[in-house]
Amino acid sequence: MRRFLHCFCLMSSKVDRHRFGYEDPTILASETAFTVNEVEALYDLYKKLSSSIIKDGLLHKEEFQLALFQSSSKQNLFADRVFDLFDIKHNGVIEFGEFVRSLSIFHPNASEAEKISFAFRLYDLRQTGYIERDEVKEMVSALLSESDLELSNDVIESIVDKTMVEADLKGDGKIDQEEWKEFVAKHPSLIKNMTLPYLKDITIQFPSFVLNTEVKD
Amino acid sequence: MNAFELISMSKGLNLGNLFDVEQEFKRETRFTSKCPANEIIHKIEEAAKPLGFDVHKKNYKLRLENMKAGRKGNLNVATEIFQVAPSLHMVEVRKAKGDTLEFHKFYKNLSTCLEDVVWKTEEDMQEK
Repeated sequence: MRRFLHCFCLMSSKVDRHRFGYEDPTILASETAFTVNEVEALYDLYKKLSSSIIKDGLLHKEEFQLALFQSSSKQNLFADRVFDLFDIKHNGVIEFGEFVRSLSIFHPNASEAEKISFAFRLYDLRQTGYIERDEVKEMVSALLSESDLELSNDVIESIVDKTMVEADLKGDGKIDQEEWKEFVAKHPSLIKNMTLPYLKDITIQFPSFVLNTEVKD
Repeated sequence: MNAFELISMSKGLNLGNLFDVEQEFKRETRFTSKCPANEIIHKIEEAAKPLGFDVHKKNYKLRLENMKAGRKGNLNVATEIFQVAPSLHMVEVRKAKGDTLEFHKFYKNLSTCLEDVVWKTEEDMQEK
């Protein structure tokens, strides 16, 4: 009986060591582009980000905004889309596992197909399975407004028109996944921001993981 | 410049900011200008040469190479000019090779010389 209790105490102290939302780094590493040490380094980053405002060990929208813009109240269409896609369970927070699995797509080693698909889902604002013309216009307007740049409606329309002519090969007023893939093939820089080279250096950036590591690579 | 190239410049889509502990020394920056592209190119050339840079031009791309080697070899800077609208250009200035701190210093010098050309800097565009 005593031995059983002793084992239980060891187990619970390990669980307490990590906050709510923690997932086994070995499992996460096996399912993503990250090594176990990289997952542990990401945990250090996640801990920092997720305790900046609401200290519950979960990454809330305001904390995500704070990390991206240094302002927790900055409303941004694109950050909203990223947050929604990272929040796989749609429970209003990004848990650690979701954080790692989503960031994996941005790893230099992740497949181009994954990145192209993620970008498509990002830009499909209303998740209809297509990027509609008015969504393109909405995003252009949002970018201009974010950058404090003003262009006349005519000019915005012509930017959107030019893009649709090139991307919307079927001419149905929306871009489907196939058309998007072809468009990206012609303009590879469109998915440049789907790769974060820093992810390869993460263990250098967050060396504190060395003290906590459970596994040596 | 197509709509998606423009859209992808959003700060909300550049997740590198999640990792930048200090954002001071960026490897890439941009500014907007209301001047014609040729004028922008000319002004950049004029500014870069006295700073000791060799200039290579191709279409709307410029490659500036420091003739003197720095801490991590010769600083190489790539600039590209995009037309957002007939009267508005976006200029991207990026470190292609060399030391980031030297790039930062170079860009500070460059922006002083380009005061007449720059309409909004990256800081201006993010101040909201």
